[in-house]
Amino acid sequence: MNGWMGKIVKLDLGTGVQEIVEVGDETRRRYIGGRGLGVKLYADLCSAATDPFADGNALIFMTGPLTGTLMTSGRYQVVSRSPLTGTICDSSSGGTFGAVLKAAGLDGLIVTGRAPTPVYLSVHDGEVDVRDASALWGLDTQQTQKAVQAELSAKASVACIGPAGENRILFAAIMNDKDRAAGRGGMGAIMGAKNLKAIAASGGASVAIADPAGYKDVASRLDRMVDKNPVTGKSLQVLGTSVLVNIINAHGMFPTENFRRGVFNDAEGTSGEKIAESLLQRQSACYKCPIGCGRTTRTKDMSGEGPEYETVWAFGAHLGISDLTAITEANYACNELGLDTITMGSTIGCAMELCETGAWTAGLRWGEAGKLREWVTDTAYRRGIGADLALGSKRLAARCGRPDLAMQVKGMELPAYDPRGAQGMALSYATSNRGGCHMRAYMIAPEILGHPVFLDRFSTAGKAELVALFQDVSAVVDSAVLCRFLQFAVGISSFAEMLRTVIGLDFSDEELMTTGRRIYTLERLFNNRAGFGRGDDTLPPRFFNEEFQTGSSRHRRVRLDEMLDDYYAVRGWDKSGAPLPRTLAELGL
Amino acid sequence: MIDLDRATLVKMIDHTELNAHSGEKKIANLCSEARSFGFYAVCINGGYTRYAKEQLEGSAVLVCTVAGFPLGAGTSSAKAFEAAEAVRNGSAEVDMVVNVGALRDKKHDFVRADIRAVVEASRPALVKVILETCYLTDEEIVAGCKLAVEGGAKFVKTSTGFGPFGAFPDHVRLMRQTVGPDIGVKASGGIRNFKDAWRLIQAGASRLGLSSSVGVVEGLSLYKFAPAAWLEEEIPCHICPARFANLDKQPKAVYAYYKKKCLACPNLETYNRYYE
Amino acid sequence: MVKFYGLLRRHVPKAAVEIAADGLTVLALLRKAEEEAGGAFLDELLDRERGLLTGTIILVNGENIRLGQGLETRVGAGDRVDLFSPAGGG
Repeated sequence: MNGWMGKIVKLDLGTGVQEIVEVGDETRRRYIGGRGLGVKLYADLCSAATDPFADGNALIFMTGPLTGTLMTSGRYQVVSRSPLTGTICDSSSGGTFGAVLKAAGLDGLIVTGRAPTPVYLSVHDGEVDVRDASALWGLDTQQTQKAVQAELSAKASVACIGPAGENRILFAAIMNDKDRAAGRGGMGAIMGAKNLKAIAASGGASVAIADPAGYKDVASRLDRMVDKNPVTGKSLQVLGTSVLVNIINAHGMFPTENFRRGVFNDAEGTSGEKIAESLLQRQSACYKCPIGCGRTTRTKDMSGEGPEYETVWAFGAHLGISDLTAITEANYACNELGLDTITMGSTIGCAMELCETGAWTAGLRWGEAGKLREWVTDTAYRRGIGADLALGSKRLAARCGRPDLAMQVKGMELPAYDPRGAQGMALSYATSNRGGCHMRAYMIAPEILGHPVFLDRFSTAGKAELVALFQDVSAVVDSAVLCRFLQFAVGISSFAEMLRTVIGLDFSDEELMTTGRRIYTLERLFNNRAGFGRGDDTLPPRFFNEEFQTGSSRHRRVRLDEMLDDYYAVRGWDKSGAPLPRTLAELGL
Repeated sequence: MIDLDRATLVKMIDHTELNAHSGEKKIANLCSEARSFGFYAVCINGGYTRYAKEQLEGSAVLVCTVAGFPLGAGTSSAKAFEAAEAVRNGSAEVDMVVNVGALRDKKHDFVRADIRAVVEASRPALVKVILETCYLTDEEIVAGCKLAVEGGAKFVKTSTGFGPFGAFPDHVRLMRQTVGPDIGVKASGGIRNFKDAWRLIQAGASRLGLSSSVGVVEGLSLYKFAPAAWLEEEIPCHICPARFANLDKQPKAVYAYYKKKCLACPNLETYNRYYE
Repeated sequence: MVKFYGLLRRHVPKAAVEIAADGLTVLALLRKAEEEAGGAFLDELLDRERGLLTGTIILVNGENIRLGQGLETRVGAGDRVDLFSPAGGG
């Protein structure tokens, strides 16, 4: 088989039974791999009634046919039902693990059941061994990886959870290859609930390529396109993603103090430019990646990876904090403990506003940089106010009687772009299948960055079509599996060509777009069955009722009503947000 | 959705490198890119014809050489010699520059003969006639097209790329109208991205001379499924040659011609903020 | 007031420079800024034909010039111009 390894193993941690999951050619073609195939298999194995922490819940680790081949192809996707949101969720992580899992002989691994005592898995030569992890339980993610490598092989790539996952924190992350994270949605908590501490992979299998000459052409072309492009060839390497701090702030939409304001007084102090001149040791890159957006940094007392843009915001402007060292050290803590930085920071910001309004008496105050690391650590262990922060902003705010102060959609906290500054982004947030996520349709690209075209961010015209388009293309890239940053340099035809040369199947551009749409719609179907509908395709009241008074996004409100019906129409869904029968028929669902 | 696929687009492109300062490495790179993407031809200066032919050995990519370039003001025999030599060295197409001065002087017989001389000398290669629209009125463009066809050329081409401006949809439309469906219309000069290229194709261009070929092809990928809003007509002045009229760089009469056109334009009221 | 961000700072000694701009178009202002700020940064923002590169962001008082008259947008005294070369992230 070209591209795919042709083997997916399903393992029940309770019974120890392993089986090969057969995936027909038809299914492979229609869902490709990674996110698409993961979602398809999850929907077949579980249902919208499955409790994320139930033994019967499946946790799926999936690679794609392009994993281990072209640049950036070390990524993998983790799919399950999110304990944070209750929606279907796929979480993406970079590094090398995906490529190594494939080199170990598997396309993917499905874990069900629950081990009676902590275990970890070792994947090698297509075989999965279950090993005792009692000595590892309690270790942080960095210690865990080292310990597993010491036991197995220095070359093993390890994906693991830290104390946060062990304690089933709803936004616990899975960490791999030191500091790469499958961050959003609490996939780490599911691992913890299954008593699964880590998965280690090693091997030397190579990926079969259908058309080696064509592949070589495509690869060298991709090299050239990525190198020539100023974003992937220069900006991301030199300044990382935090180059966005000054940009978003200048557009008056840098969410400050729980999205109350759009301009942060000391954005400069937490910017990519500042990181480059103060904490940066060197850039770091994932498997076969020439882009190298990663930041290896050190503060006076600590060192590690990051922070990147979302984190710099979540622990920075969002909390009124401009102390870059404190932000960075909180980031390190999240990496070590295995926590999603966006949800963590956002929850703290929500907590600060709850305290300010008197809805909570925990005494958190804006700008309190000194306590950041402590709050993060306490959250991982449910200690003190950490037990409250561990609820995430939605549940915490609801408990305090101010649900409107949680900046979340469908339970997942919004990232670092205020939707009042970009109408398309507002629609993107509202219709994302995994909740408040900026990656499903990164509308910032056209609305702010001007890539690939520049659009008026305050206009709602044409945004519905575009959001749907981006959501579909992103689904394809997440299923291949490759890094989304390639989208700054190449478009859908290039991805079609990559798949053609590697797999040998004749994917046309149109077929690929349909595939993306199919994946997106399947996710939507699942969410509909889980009880989500039009009422959840919305944003917190702040964005409809409050306006900034200063900055270049002042006096603006989100006009979702101008876009949502259009979006449903473009998608072929009815007014309640459910796919119409003809749409399902078209997509073969 | 744009009804153009990548395979068709690449076969419309002459991948071009005509700079005086381009060395062998640039030409080698040009040829390797052309091979890799499958462009129709590479378009280069005469001195590199043989080298390019060697670099493209075994591929389907053609070599296209320019003659009497970029001014077109040399003698007919010099142009003819250049063309014949290029063909001997392996060129399948010759892009010649029309005698712009003679065209403006209305010396039509001379212009026709000049073109015919190159066409004869180039057989069996095909000849494209560069009109250099930035120095011409619409009337002169129409005349130039007719003379090119009468002279036996198979293509008319907008620009050298070295003049004050390059290809515009209005000019391409005019050229296509004049020559009809059987003669090629090549748009060249100032085509920076897919949007520019798409407008010219819609205006009737059947070949594109590009140095940003790779970006244009990748652009198709990005625009293919794009909503109509992305390809919307810009402010008409942005794609009108009259706006780019430049007294420093164009003959006074041509500049005055464009300015007059501008003042008589129905769009002037709406977009008059562009003018002092 | 012209402010430079990101990679542009590699080309100029100071991140912000005061330029007498009254009535100049943005393009003219950029050329003047290149002279006065003492660094060749135009190629990071503009292509060979001196049009805006895809991804270049130029704000005048917080508004993107692409929504105005592009490089022909006129800048007045006291206006603030923010310059960003193409960048991206997530």
